[in-house]
Amino acid sequence: MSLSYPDAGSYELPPLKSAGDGEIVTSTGTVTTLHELYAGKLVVLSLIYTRCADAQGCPWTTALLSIARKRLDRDEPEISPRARFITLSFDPKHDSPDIMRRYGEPFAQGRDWVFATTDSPAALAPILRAYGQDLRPDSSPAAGAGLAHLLRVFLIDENQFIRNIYGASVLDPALLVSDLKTLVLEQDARLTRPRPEKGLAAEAELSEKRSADLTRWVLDPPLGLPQAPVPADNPLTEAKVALGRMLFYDRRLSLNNTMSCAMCHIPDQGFTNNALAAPAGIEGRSVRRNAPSLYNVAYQEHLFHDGRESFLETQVWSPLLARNEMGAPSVGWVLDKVRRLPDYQGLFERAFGRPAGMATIGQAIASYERTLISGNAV
Amino acid sequence: MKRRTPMNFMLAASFMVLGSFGHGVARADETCMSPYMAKIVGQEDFVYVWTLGQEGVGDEQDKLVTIDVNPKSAKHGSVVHTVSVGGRNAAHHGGFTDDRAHFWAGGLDTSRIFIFDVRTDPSKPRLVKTIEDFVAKSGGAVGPHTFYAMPGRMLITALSNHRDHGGRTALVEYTNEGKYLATYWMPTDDNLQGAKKAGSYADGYGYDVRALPRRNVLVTSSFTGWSNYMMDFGKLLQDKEAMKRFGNTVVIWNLHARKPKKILDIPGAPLEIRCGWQPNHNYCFTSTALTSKIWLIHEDAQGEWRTQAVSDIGDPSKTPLPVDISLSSEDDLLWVDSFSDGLVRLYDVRDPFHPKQIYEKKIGAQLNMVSQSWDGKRLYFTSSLLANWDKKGADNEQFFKAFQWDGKQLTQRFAIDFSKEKLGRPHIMRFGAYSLYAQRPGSESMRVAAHGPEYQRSAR
Repeated sequence: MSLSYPDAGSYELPPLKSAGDGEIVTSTGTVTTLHELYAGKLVVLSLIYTRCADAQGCPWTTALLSIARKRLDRDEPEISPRARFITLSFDPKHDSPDIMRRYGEPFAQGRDWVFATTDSPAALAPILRAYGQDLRPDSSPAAGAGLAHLLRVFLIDENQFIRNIYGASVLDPALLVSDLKTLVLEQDARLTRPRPEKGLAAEAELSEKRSADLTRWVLDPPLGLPQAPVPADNPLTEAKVALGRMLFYDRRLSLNNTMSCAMCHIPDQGFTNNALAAPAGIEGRSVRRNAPSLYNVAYQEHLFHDGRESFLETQVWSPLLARNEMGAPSVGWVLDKVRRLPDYQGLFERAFGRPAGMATIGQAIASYERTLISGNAV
Repeated sequence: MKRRTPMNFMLAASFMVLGSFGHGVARADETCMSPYMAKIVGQEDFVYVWTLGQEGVGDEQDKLVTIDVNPKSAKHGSVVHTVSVGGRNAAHHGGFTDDRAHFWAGGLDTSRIFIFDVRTDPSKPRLVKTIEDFVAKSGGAVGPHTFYAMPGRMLITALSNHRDHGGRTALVEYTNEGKYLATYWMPTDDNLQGAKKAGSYADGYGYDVRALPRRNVLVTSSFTGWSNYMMDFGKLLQDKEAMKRFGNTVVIWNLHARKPKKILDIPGAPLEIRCGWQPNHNYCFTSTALTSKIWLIHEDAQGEWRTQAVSDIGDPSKTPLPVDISLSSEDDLLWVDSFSDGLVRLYDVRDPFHPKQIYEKKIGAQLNMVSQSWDGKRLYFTSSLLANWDKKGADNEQFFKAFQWDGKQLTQRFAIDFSKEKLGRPHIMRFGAYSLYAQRPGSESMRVAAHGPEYQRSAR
C-alpha cells in the first residue's frame, strides 16, 4: 500500500528557529564555520558518529540521505545545485577529519556533500546546544561505550532558519526531496510576489471604523425602533465605544484570565448563550440563570432577570465581581490590572480625559452595549 | 506491493528500535534510538502525576507530583517531590518533548502551559517556563489537552475556543523551545478544508491525537468545549442543550501536511486514541465516554480509513463512562478504565475486530487514568476525571495506585491517598527514569548530562 505524501508546495514548513553556528573542520582539514557552509544554500544537516554500532541508526540515516542526494542530482536539476548536504560528527575525540573523509567517500563522490567534525568537545558544545542534540554516554556492553542520542536531521533554508527536523521514523528520501522542493517553490514565489505587510495602522483603522458603524445604530436606529436613550453624563463617542468593546471581549478582566463578558453574552449566539441552559462561570462555577441577551439593552429600564439594577454603567460591575461569574476580588483589583495592561495605555485618557476608574470602565462598557441594537428583518 | 522499498524497510527498522523500548535489555540498537522519543530502559524510577489543585486541600494549587516507584529505592512508594504552579488551571494532560528533557503540562481552564525540566534531576522536576499566551498566539484555541512529541516540536490538541467556549477547536504546534508555530483548525461543515466528510458529522471538536508515521497519518478524536467540561457534572446531565454538544467524530489527517483528509463518525465522545505498535497494525483504538463502546479506527486493504464499533464496555445503559485506555506493546491487550463504576477491564484484542473481555477489577469508587510499563507488568491508576465532574462526598476518593500484573490478576503494590497527603486530584501519569539520561542518583554523570557536551570529560 503506497504512502500518500502531500505534493511539494501544497503545505507549509513554518520556520522553527535560527540554525546555529559553530566552528568545524571538514574532511579535507579546512577549518570553517557552519554558517560559511550554509551561505546561500538549502542545507540538509545530519548529526552522527562513525562508531555508531546501530545499523538502524547513523549508518542507515547516511544511506537514506545518499538516496535523497542521488535522486536530487538525477531528477531535480533546478534544486540540486541549490542544496548542500552536511554530515557532522558529534564524536570529535574519535572522528578526525581523516576518519570523516573515509566515512564520507562512498557517499560524497563529487556531490555537494560535506563531511565534517569539530576540533574538540569545546568546539562541539555550542553546536549541540544550538541544535538541541541530545547526547549521553551509553556504557552498556552491547553498545561498546557508544553514545546514546536521538537521531536528528535538520532542513535549513537559505535564510538559515531550521524548517524541518526529521527523526528516524520520518526520514524518507521522497519526503526530504519534497520538502526541498517546497522551499524552492516558496522562495521563487516570494521573489515574484512580495506579500503586502498588514500593519498595526490598518488594524487600528478597522477598529475605529467598526466603532463608527456601531455608534451609527444608536444615532440612527433601524426600522421600527425609537432613538435609544443615552444618559446625559455619558454621551456616546466612538472612542468610548471602541474602548468598551475592547473591555467587553477582554478575558483578563476575570480573576484567572478565562472569562470576558463575551464568554456568556456570546455575539454569535445573540449576546446570550444558546448552547446551554445556564452558563458556567469562572472555574466552571454554577450560575443559576442564563445570561440575558444584550440586543436592545439600551432600551431596558430594569436590568438583570430580577430587575435589580437600573443603569448599565453600574450593572457591569456585578458580573465582574461575582464569585461565580468573572471572580474579580475587588474593584481596586480590576482597576490596578487594567491600568497595568500596556494595551490600555492612553485609551481612557483619550475617551474620558482621565485614567481608568470605576466610573469610566462602567461608562465605556455601557457605551458599547448601547450600540447592540437589532431591529426586525425587513 | 510487498517489494521492500527503502521506506518500508526503514520503518520496519524503526519499529525494531522502538520495540526494544523498556525491555530492560541494553541492546546495541539502544545507542541510536527512537522514532520520536528517547526510551526508558528497564524499570521506571518515577511516575510524574499532573495534579489538580482543590479548594480546601493543601495549598489548593495545581502541582506536578513525583512518586518513587522503583522497588529497589529506599523511597519506593512515596511522594518524593512536588512543584506547585501558583494557582488552579484545571490541570489535565501533559507529555514529554521528543528528547524527554522537558514535560509540558496544560491547564484546561486557563490555557496556561507549564514546562518542567525533568532531565537535570529526574527526581525533582523544575518549572522552567510558563506559556501564558496560548489562546492569543493560537488565534483563539482554548484548553490545551494532549501534548504529543514530534521531532523538535510539540503538537497540542485543544478542546475549545475563545469565541463561545464551545467544542470547535484546533491543533496547535510549538517548538520544543516554546515558540508558537502554527494552528490547524479542526474541519467543520462550514469549512471542511478539503477533507472528505464520510459520515453525518463534521463538528470540529478535538481531544486526543496520535501519529502513525508509517502511514503519514495523524488521528484526532473529539470531546466537548470549555462550557461543558468546566460545568458541574450533575448540572450538565440535566442540561439537554449542553448534552447535545459532545464530539461525534475522529479525523484522519495528512501528518506531513497537517491537513485533514477524512472525517469519520464515532458518536458519543471518542476520547483517548491508542494505535497499534506492530509494523502492519494500521489501526487505532478509542473508547466513547457517553455510549460506552470500544471503536476501531482502521485502514482497509484499499487504503481507506474506516471506523467500527467492536465491543461494548460493561453495560452501556448504566453509563460506566470509560475514560482511558492503554494498549500493550504487543498489541494484544487493551486496558479500559471507566469512571462511574471504578472498574478496569482487560480485553484480549489480538483480533482487533473482536475484543474479548478477559478480566476486570474494581480499583476505587471513581477511576480515571491508567498507564502501563512497556513490559506490561506494572500498571498505575489515578482517580480524578475533571474538577467539577469528580464524585462528591465519600466517593470522591483521590488516589494513585500501583499494581503488578502477573498475566492473570492485578495485585496492589502500594497506594497514595492524595486527599490525605493534601495534594489534590491526580490525573495524568508519565514515567521518568535515571537511565534515560545515563544518570544515577547523585552521580557525577547527572551533573554532566545536564550540560550536554561536557559528557566527554565524564566518559573517560
